[in-house]
Amino acid sequence: MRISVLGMGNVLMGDDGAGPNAVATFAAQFDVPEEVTLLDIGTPGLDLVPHLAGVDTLLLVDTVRSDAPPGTVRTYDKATLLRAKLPPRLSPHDPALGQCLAMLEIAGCAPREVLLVGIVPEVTAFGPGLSAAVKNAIPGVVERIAMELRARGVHVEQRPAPEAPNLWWEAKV
Amino acid sequence: MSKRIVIDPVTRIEGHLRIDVEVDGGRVSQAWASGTMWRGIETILLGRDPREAWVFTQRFCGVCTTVHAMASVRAVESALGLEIPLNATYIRNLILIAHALHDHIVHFYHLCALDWVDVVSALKADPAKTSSLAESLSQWPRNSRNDLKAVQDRLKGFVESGQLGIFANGYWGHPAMKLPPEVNLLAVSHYLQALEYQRKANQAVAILGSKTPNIQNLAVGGVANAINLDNQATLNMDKLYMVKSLLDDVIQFVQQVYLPDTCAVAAYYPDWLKYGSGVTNYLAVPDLPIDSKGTAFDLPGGIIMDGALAGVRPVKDHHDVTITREITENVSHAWYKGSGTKHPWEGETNPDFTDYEPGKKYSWVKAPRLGGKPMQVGPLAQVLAGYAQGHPLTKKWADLALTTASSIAKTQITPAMLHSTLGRDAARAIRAAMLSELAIEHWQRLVDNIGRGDTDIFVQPEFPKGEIRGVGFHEAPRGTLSHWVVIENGKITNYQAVVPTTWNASPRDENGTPGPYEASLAGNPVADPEAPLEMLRTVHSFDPCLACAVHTLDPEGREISRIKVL
Repeated sequence: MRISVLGMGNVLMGDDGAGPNAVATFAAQFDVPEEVTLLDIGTPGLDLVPHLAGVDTLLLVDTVRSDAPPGTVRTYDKATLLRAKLPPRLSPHDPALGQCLAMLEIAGCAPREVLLVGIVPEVTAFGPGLSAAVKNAIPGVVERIAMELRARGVHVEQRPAPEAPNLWWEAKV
Repeated sequence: MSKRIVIDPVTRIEGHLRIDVEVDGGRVSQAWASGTMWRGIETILLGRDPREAWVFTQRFCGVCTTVHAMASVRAVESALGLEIPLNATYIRNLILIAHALHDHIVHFYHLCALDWVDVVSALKADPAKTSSLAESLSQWPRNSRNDLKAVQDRLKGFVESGQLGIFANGYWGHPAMKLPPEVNLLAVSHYLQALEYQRKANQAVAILGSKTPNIQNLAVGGVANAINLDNQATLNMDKLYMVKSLLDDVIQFVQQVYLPDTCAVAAYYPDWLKYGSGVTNYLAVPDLPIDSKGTAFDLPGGIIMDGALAGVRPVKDHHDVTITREITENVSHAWYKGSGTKHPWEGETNPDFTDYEPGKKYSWVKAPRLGGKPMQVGPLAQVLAGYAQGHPLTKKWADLALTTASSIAKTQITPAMLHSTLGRDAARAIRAAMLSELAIEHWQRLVDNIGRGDTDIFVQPEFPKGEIRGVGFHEAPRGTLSHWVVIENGKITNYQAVVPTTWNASPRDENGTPGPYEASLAGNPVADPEAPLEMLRTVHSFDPCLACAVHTLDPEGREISRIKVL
């Protein structure tokens, strides 16, 4: 079974880096078997396709637009994502998750299961680093990733001496 | 009565392309292109070590990661006057080629095809007729009646279950859709197949770059791919053959599917070889160097003014004084302090947001100019520059495309018709075909060089005391990209990126001269202001890449501001 855990967002744009931050933090604290891919995917737009095709289970961590307060975590399944209305396409960034899933669905190679773990951002302006609200949400999201993987029979092992996560984008000049 | 149409997708919190047009008597009279997000990412580099700049610039854009990494290392190497080993040159070239092939395929099939192809009409096609049409166009083995019937059945299932609703952003049944059902079915079938081939191109990048997106193998001074043919952990013959086999499949797809499909679309939409010329000044820089000194290149560069191919001025290398001295950016209509014009080495990034006022400031995009003139960049610029100079590889594929399109259209399609909306899409396919041929050549160059016993991949950079300046040019999938760096005592003191979409999505300059998007939209027909498909065709033909930074999903699907007709 192929499982991908992808952190989406731009690490240089404040809370938009929440997904990559959560995945990097998870990778520093836990060991997972080879069939699990952990990846900071950036903001790939249509280029998400090669990373979804042929995957059995997709766990995606991303910022989501919602009325809930910053730092709130909400989850969405594949059916919900496929129901969301697609925006007009102007640039290759505009067709995002919904369209990539829809395309792969028609081609017959979409992930069987998708779980989007969404974090409501506070600031998505230029400059790396998370707001306090989103930073506080990261440990819960990391635990959630471990829990979801274990629920799918993946052997997830907590490291006795976890490394500091590689958040190179937050390094000061 | 003139009407104003605004296309402003609010799918992210901020940061995308907004297009405003004025429509008079069913045609666009004036247009404005606006980048709605501050592109100040360069400022994060100030004070940093130039050797790590590429890791950050790679995050400028989630789609064009590789190209910003490449331009950045080239900029620093140019400042140092550093020659990199031949292996590093070829490994970089292979990554650039595979990335560009991936990008061009995705653009045509997954971004712009749905502007020309009516997916629902494909249900009416006769698969047998479609198959014989396909056989008249190409040798591609996956165009059989059974293959096409299977695609049609699958599509039928989706339409009947209402699931095609997810593609509600496609304009099915729009009066501007002109392809016969058989051509639509063929295109839908290739749309699905394209997913496989873009994956293969992406895998090739991943093998050489260690990871995608955001390759890991670059370094100022070369690459980090240790070469040892006897070691499984390094670049060895197994990995090189994997790359070759992936590229071979992609090459077949480009030559036998992508290029003929583009020719067919051009042949069925002859009007679109008349609309959308806009700015006919073109700039392309040479790329894919074949020596360490960067004196000879496999992709041509050149400058064409006012569409005059006969007057083309070749750009032979990246030291050409026109491109190093005459590129400027003006901020008269962009949300930065002042209204001045600066060379990128002197460039400033001081944001000063005022309202959206088309007569004054209306975009975060600066207005790049070459010798004071707006320039169109992209595959069309490169193909025309090569064609005008008689560059053999360009001529070979451009002539084949023009002949194929002419024979389908049963009328003569000339190089002059490439100054158009569909000309840009056709040029992208022509460039992809050129790259497909170069893919194997550069793979062979790498293998031959390693075969001669050369395993060098890296030269240690050393930073002098005092100030040095460099520029890294790259002819990226969307056109000429340049990164400009000023380094003092080994630290970055200025960094400016002039990206292809800045050239093309440029706002007006101090003289009120519009940029390429703006100029090319003028004269476009708009049959239905509520569904301005024709405008999307022209905008998409440039392959815009603007929402370069933020992205936030809206799974709750509440965004409604789509296309506003005022």
